[in-house]
Amino acid sequence: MLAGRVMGMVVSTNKVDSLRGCKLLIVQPIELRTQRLLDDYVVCVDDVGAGPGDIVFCAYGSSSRQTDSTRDIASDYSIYGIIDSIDMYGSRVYDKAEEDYSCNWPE
Amino acid sequence: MQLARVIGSIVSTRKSDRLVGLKLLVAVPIDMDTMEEKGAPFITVDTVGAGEGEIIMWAGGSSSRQTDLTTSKPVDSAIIGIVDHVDIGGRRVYDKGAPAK
Amino acid sequence: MKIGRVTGTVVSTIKYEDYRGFKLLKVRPIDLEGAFSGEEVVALDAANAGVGDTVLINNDGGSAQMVMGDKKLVASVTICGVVDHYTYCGKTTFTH
Repeated sequence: MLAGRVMGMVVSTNKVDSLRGCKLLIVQPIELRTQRLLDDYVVCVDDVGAGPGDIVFCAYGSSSRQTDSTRDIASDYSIYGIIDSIDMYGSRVYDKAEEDYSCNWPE
Repeated sequence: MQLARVIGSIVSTRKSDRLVGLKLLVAVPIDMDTMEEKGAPFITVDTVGAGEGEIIMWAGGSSSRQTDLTTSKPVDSAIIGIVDHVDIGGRRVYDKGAPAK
Repeated sequence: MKIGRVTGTVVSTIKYEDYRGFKLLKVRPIDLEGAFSGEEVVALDAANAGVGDTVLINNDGGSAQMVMGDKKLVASVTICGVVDHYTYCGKTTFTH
């Protein structure tokens, strides 16, 4: 499962019917331990109501169409969860409650 | 299938309903020659009760949905076995029961 | 999906039967600053895109079957939408 931070969104009017009504978010992969942003991105279909700055996990390929709400969506990456905390080697490396990260976009 | 070592876990409250009850773990790939960690840690779903420090086998893509626990779940990576020992070329390169060096 | 730009059209007369009637476009992914990054690929167009358009590139065969309306289609990359604008790090980029 890909871990990344929600950094933006994509708006498209002229799109296929099977993407209609979907929220498309730009997720930038992170290094799990430091949450450093990697130099890449994917456009994901949001299935959980993620917002700007959230660290999320995504599934790719056919796995991105396994829930009732994504079954008929032409997705290749879907956001399936918002990460609260990450523990590695016995210590907490990320805690959403203690993080002060702001990343906004105009609605 | 590939080998990796479980090094941590992830907590997520707001997630897809279908993922409720599944344990999300952090694993790091293992180099089979040296059995040392090599590569970037990744998130995977546990189906066998793996614990931190254990060497595991994992499968990616649609193969990760072939277990009873992950059938039709939105999962693209799953731990499908805990490794007891690894023999390569007649040599035991990993033994879970052996005392840690 | 990736964001990409349509760089050209592809015409093929002798092709796999199931591709008949589909428009093929050359498309190349871009990074979020708008510069090309990654390899140019040939994609099936499902969004009526044109050369120069910024588009959504879908890289999954199952989705290709869905958007082209053929459950048996063998395809990997499809253009699923034309991007109006995208916001990244608080900055909005209008693409046309």
